[in-house]
Amino acid sequence: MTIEVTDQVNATLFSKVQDLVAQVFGIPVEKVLPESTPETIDTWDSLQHLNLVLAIEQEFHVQFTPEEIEQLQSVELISMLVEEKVSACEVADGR
Amino acid sequence: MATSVIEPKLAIRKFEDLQVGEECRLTRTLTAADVDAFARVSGDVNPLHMEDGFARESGFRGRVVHGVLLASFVSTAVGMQLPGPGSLWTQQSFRWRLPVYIGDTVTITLKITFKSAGTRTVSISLTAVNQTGAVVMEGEGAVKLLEERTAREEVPMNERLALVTGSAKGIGAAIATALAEAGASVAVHYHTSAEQAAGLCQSLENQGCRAFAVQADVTGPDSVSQAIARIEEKFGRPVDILVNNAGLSNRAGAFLETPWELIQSALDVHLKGAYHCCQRVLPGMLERGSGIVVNIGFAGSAPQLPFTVAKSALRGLTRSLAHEYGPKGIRVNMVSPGMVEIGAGDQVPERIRKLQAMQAPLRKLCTPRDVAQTVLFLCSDAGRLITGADIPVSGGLNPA
Repeated sequence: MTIEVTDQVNATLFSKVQDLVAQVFGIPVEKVLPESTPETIDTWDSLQHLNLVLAIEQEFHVQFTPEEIEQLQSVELISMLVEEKVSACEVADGR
Repeated sequence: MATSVIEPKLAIRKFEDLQVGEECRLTRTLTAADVDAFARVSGDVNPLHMEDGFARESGFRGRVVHGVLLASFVSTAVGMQLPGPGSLWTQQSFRWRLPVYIGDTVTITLKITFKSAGTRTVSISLTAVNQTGAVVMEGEGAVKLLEERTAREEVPMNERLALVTGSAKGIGAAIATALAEAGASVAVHYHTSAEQAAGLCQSLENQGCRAFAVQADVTGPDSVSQAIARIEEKFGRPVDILVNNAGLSNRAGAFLETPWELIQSALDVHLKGAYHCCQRVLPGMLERGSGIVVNIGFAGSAPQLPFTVAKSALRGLTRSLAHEYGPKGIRVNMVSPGMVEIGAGDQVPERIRKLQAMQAPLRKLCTPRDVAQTVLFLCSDAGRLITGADIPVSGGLNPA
């Protein structure tokens, strides 16, 4: 299944986020869409949100602030913020 | 009976103190009584756990301890040691590598492998070995350290230092008086009214209050900084409460007759003055995780243009600071008086004052004391959940 991703989000990165979301929420990866939110994924509760944040931080070697964690309200928003953070790390590393 | 070799620690750890690589160990010797008790609690009376003969016939050397009984000791280690009390175990995987038998001594080691500051969560690795050193169980988990529910202690008023700008007379003097009478040490700031500031301080000291007059031009950062340094030296503590009241009133006029300089001078005192004072006191408030800022606005009608523009800008500053610093324990509010009944020397004609009073639902003009009591409320524990507010003290006559 091909997922439509906005221009802003790198497809590889989105695919990784998609895998993590599927794994943490215990749903098939094809059910994870950019527009997926806590309203559309039954198992996306506050506890699993925490586990998702932890999984993403470990996978991408980034850290979110409490304010950013509250902003992670859809798979697309998560992917966009992760991409911002990963890019910032690459710039800081001189890559 | 299972025996513990580690005394539980009941102190709640700070998340910041947890370190990646930090470990804890918990050692238990499993007994028949433990397995029997777990079988009763769980209802798992599988003969592999309960009957020695069955277990041996099945290829084991005796009754096999329930895997989840072993896992329960991981809960003990998480809840009592690492991170310890106040933690919430949010995920865990287990891989049981070898059977554990009654009489075996198992040592569980937890190690922090990752910290997530945003979620206050740590990832942990789990390894359990028996008395021979063989790995019997492994896994990975995550634990969130809950925030303490105890409310932030408000500093008692008699331990607070308040700076009220422009407090030699009028509304500022009433605010300084109210805060001083409530027990705070008060810095009475003035620009040119030295005599009145000294008189107010003397009067407050005669009542047993602590007050100190300090001169500064609030439009100059150096002047503000030096004044606040003198105040803090005098009282031996940093400013806890800042009331930005300093202002000026300039002549009313139509927009087309108002030169920019009049607006600029109003902005300089009302907005830039508050800006410099906040710049100077906020770092200390941030360090202590508490502080209160009250900006004095305006809620009257038919105001002077430069004054209105400056107070509107100050309202914007109030909201921005409240939003930014609320999470850091600093409250920022605005108190907006309507037309104030100052008394003799008031520049507003009597007819206009009476008209204002008649237009207000409460049929009264506000007094400096009304404003001061509202400021005092915001600075007290009673106002501890209020930030970003603009409270009109205008008898119900609010601007659109």
